[in-house]
Amino acid sequence: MILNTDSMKPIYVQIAEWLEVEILNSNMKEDERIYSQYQLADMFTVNPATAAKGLNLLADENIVYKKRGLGMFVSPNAKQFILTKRRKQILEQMIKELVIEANRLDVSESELIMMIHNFKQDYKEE
Amino acid sequence: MMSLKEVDLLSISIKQYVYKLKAYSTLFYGLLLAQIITLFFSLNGISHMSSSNGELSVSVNSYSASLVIVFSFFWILFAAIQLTTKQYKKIENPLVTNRISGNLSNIGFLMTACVFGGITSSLVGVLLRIIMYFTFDRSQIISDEFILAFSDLLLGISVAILYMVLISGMGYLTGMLTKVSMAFVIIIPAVIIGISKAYADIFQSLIKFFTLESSLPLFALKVIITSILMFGVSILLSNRGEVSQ
Amino acid sequence: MNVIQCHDVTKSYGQNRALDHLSFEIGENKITGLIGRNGAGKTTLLKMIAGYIKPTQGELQVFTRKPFNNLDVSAKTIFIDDNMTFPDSFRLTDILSEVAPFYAAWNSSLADALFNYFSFDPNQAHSNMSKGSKSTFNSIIGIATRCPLTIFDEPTTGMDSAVRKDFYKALLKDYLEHPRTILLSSHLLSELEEILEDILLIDNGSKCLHLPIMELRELAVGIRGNEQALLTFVEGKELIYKEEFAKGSLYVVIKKESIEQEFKHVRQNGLEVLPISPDDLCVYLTGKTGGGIDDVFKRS
Repeated sequence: MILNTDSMKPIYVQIAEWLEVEILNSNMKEDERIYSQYQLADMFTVNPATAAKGLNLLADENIVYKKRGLGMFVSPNAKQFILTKRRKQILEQMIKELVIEANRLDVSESELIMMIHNFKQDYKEE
Repeated sequence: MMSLKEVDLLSISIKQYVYKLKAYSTLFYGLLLAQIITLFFSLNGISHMSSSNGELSVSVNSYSASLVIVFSFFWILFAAIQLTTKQYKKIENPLVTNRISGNLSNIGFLMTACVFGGITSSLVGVLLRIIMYFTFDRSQIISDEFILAFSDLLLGISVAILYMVLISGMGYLTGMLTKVSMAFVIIIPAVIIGISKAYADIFQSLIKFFTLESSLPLFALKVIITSILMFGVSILLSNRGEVSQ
Repeated sequence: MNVIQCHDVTKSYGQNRALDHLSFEIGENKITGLIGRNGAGKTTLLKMIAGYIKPTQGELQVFTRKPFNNLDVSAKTIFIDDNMTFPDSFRLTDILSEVAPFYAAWNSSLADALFNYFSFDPNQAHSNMSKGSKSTFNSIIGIATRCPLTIFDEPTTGMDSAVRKDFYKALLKDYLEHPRTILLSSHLLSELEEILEDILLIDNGSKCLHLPIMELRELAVGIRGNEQALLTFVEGKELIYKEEFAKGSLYVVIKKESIEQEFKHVRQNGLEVLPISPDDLCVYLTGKTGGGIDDVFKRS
C-alpha cells in the first residue's frame, strides 16, 4: 500500500479515509469486522499506534463500533453517514478556498454568486 | 517478555568458549604447521660435533624436538596476549557477554590451546624418533631413551602442558596490564631484566621454584596456583571499569 | 512498565560532554526513533543503554538493572551498528548459526529467509563486504535475535533506498508478530518516521523533545508572507525558526498551540500556512541560531 507521505494530511487520516472508501465501495459491509490496527499497520507499513489512531477517528464518528475483545465492526448506516459527511466537508472546503481566492482577486460577493450561477447554466446546456 | 529467564554465567561462558574455539581454529592449524616446519629444521640436528685423530673420525649429531616445544611456548604466549587486545575483544560485542564470561571463555580457550600444544609438541618428538628410526642405521643411534616409554611420553606431555599453562597466564596478565596502561609495555620487560640482573639470586630461585621440582603433582600444584593467581588478577583488572571502545 | 529509565545521565570524555543531564523513559514494546544531528550523542547514548559504556553521572536502568557489564541485560539486548566484528574464519552463514545459541528467541528460519531474500553469498567473509551489504547483514541479525530490547544505530548506512524500505518493512512486520522494544537512531527522520511510535530528539547531549510522532506532526506550522504583517501576527510569540524568504517576505516556524486563537485570521492577513515535515522541524529545533545555510550565502 502506498501512502502519500508528502500530503499535508496526517497518515492516520489517510488510513481513515481509505477505510471510508472501502465502506463506500461496499468492500466492507454493515456489521462486518473491519481491519485490525495490526493488519492496517502491516498493509500501510506504519506503526500500529498510527493505525489505531486512524481507527479511533472512525470510532469517534460512529462509523465503526467496538465489540469488546472482538475488534471493530462497520456500523449500520456507516455508508450513508460517510456520504453526507463527505458532501458537507468537501463542498465546504471548496467554498472556503473559493471565497478566499475571490477576495484576493477582488471579486465581489455578488460577482462570485453570478459566476456560480452562470456556470451552472452552461453546465446544464452541455 | 520482561520475564525471560535469567541467564547463568557458566552456560554463557561455555557458549562463548565454543564460539571462540571455532573462531580461532586457524591458530591451531598455524601451530601444527609451524611444528612440522620446526621438525624439519630439527632433522638436521640441533648440534653437531665431530673429532678425528687421523685414523678414526667420530661424528655425533644430536637430535631433539626441544625446538618444537620452545616454539609452542612462544605460540601460547602470543596467543594469550592477543586475546586481551581490543581487536579480539570486539568479537564478543555481538554476543551475550559480560567481562567475567569473556575472561572465563578466554581462559577456557587458552587451556584447550595448552593441552593441544602440549600434546602435539610432544608427539612431534615421537615423530622425530620414528623418522630417525627409519632413516638411520639403527646401530648409529646412541641413546638409552630412544625408545620412549609410554609413561615417559605422558610425563612429557603433562609437563609441557603445565609450562604452557604457566606461560599463558603470564601472557594474559601482561596483556591485561598493558590495557590498564601502555606504560606496562616498557615496565614489564624492564622489571624482568632488572630483577634478573640486580637480584639474580631471587630470580634464579623463582625459576628454580618451577624447574627443579621433581615431583609432578607438586609441580602441577605450583603451576596451577600461580596460574590461578595470574588469571584472577587479570579478571579483576578487566572487571575494574570501562575500557575505551 | 518502562524498559529504559534514564535519570539525569551525563557522560563526559575529559572536558567534553557527550551527554548532558539527560532524562527520559522508554516504555515496553514501543518503537522509538532517536534523532539528532551528527555528534548529538546518539551513539554514546545507545552504547550506554547496550551496556558498552558507563554513565559518568546519573542513573541509567535497563530492565530495572544497570546495563554496564550486566549479563542479564546483555542477554535481552542486541546492539546493531556497522562496527560489529565477527571472526574472519566465519563465513556469513557460520555467523548466523554461531550467534544463534546466545539468544533465546533467535529465529533461524527468519534469518535464513532474509539472508536469501537479500541474496547474500553464503561463503563471503564479513570483513570483505561493502558498507551497504554489511549494514543489511547486521540488520538481519538485529531482527532475527528478537531481543526484548533491539537497538539499531544508524542501521541503513550505505543501504540503497530499495533495501532501506525492505529493512524497515521487515522490521515492522516482525515487530507486529513479535512486539518488542525497538530503538532506532538516524539523522534522517523522514525515512523511518512511519514505523515509529515515539521520537526522542537530542541535541548536544540534551533532550530536545520526547513525544509520540503524531504529536510532533501537529506541533508546529510554517507561515509565510509579508514581513510587516507576519511580524505583527507573531509578535511576542516564540519562534522556532525565522528566515527571510525574499525581500520583504518572511518565513517563520511557530508552535501551533501558541497561535490557536489567531489561527483563523492567518489567511485574512494575507499569510500562507504551510505544513512542516517532522524532518524539517527537527532540523529547525536543533538548529544553531536562527537562519540557516542561506545566511552564509546572503549578500550584504
